[in-house]
Amino acid sequence: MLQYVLAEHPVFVATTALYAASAAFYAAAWRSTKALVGRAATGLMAAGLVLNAAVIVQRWIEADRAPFKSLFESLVFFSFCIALVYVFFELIYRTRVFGVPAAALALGCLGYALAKWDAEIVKLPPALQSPWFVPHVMVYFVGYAAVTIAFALAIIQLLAPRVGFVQRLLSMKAGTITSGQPLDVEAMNFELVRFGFALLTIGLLVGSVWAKSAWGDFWVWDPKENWSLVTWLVYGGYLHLRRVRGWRGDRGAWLLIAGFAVVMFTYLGMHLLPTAEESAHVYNSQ
Amino acid sequence: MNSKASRAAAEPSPSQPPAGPSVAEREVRLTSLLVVGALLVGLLLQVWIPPGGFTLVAAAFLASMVLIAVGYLAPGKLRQTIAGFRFIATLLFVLAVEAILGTLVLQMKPTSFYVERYGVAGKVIVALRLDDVFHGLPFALLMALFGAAVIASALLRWPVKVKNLGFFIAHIGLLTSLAGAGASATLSIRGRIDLHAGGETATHVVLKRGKQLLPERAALGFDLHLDRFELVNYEPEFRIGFYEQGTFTDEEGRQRPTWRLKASFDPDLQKHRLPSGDSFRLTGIYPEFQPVPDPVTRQVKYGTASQEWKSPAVAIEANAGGRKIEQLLLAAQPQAVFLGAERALLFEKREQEVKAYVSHVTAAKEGKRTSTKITVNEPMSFGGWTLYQVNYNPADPTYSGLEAVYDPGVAWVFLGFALICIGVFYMFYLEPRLKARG
Repeated sequence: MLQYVLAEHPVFVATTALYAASAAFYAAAWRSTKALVGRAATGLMAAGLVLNAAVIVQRWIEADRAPFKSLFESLVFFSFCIALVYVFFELIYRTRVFGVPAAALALGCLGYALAKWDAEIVKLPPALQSPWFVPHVMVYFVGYAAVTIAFALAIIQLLAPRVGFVQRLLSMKAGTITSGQPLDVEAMNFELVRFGFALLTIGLLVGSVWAKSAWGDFWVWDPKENWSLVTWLVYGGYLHLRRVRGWRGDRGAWLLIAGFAVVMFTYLGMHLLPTAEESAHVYNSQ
Repeated sequence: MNSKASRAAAEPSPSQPPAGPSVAEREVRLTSLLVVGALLVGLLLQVWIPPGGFTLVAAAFLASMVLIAVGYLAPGKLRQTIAGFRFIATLLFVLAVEAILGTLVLQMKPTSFYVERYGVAGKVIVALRLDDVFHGLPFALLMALFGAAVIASALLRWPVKVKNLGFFIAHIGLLTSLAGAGASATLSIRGRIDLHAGGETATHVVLKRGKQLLPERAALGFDLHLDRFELVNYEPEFRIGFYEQGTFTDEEGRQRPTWRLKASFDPDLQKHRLPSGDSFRLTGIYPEFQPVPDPVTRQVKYGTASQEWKSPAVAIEANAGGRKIEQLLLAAQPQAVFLGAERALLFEKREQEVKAYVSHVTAAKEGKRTSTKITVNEPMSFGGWTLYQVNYNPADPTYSGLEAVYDPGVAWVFLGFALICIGVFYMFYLEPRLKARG
């Protein structure tokens, strides 16, 4: 399989290699005192992002439609969104501490995409030929990417007081924290979830408008709709609970981990439900 | 600390009045009481009140109004509690659990279905009305608490200031959407229209509940005629498919062999690598294949009559584990090139998939005629109804199934959606800037 992908899909392989290399350089930047190592990590991540975009564009041209139909295509787009959100996150917070989990998550998506490789490009059925299709998927996946990075940060937040190495990471400056300021992981998580929640809200509502134009119902209690609502409710609950005393810190971090589990089930677990047979949203390849 | 001392530390002295529960404790108690109470009361009342759109809307509306009224009129902390973050967060999680429940049990099936499928558990599902979770009273009462919480928390921000406008807009948006959804659930009419091209004109719709057709009909208020039904297919495609043998489990649990498509290629002249590590390339592509005798040698050569993909063939050269295989493959007579016992290449025509279902219809009312087409994602609106393309019959190319929907609530739902989006962005990204400016 690897030889086939290497020969037939070299841009995909190059993207994977760049994310792997950027993860390695980000990890090296944890230790190195040279700023160049951190910059190289960012450069590799940005290059991976560009090639990831190229894979998507290439597929778009080849399929003559937006490449968001199959699980494979969505995973490739998800890895792009994770890298994209992370690069903006790095620029805003001026820290490279979280580059390793971000690159690893993008890499993980591509690895899973490799396992779920499409034997053939499938045609778009009439229901998906809607002007709402592309904005719905794009908004959702950028939102998913934001809460995925929040999940990684929540784990770091939980580990920091318990594992010395992680604690040191958050206080190191060379190559990783370019702002020179101490990191408030909790506040970063809140920003990521706020951003993700806003996009999940739009995605949910756009999906509803689309369902109305295609089937005449804006809500039919389809399993995927329900689980998207569950995702929205869980992150809505998190944003509200953050205003309640005692819900910041560890409890909030655990809630974000639970929220991510819900997101992953909504994305990948629909075929496991007893009601999946009636859903219009289950990926064929699962 | 000895046991007497620790008891003394834990208990208040007789001279001091006992400390009451903290505000947080009171909120937790009241929240638990309201949420658990709503679920239990709902479960009990639905023994007599069956689930349904009207049940959901009426119960949710009445209960939320009562709760708001009690919150404002009665002394105590009810109003502050239901407007609080703790209450709404709890409610959001309970609603999430309820939504999950609705995905674990198939909804709105006939009673016999549950008994046949789940046995004794099926009877419990029906008794607890888990067969229609989203129209039952427990859900309705939770929605009542949600509505009351949204109203109470929005009113807490009254009079609205520029700095907290986002919260207010988002919550008004939620209420508008809920009101629209309520109107939609109670006032909307939906049904099915079966038409045949050039056949009878439809004047009525057959009503539906969920996915089930009802015996009742409703007047459309106009005449609808199907002029033509068109099934648009994607262009035919010819591919080189690489298959590997695998197994699948049949209905009786036995392992059966099957061939699975692992990779597929456009017919081109490049060399391609296969997932098995083998390779192939096409040495000739003949869109309209025909054997051509060489005028000199009189040997038959491969050729094409035109560049139109009518009866294509390809000449293939495969390399399987160092073994070279050359073969002519015709799409009309699929023949595999076996690269080994469990892998093969095939030149094949793909099934033509449906690209669009198009109903060309004419609607007429009081001398006014409108001719248009209806496709999936492009419904037609006429006379207060919206008509959607939902069905076709491959055995009858003249048939088209349309869904007719009259929904006076949907405009409010979408207005609410717009307000939610505006409110959320204002709250998250404008308010912090306004507050920072002072």
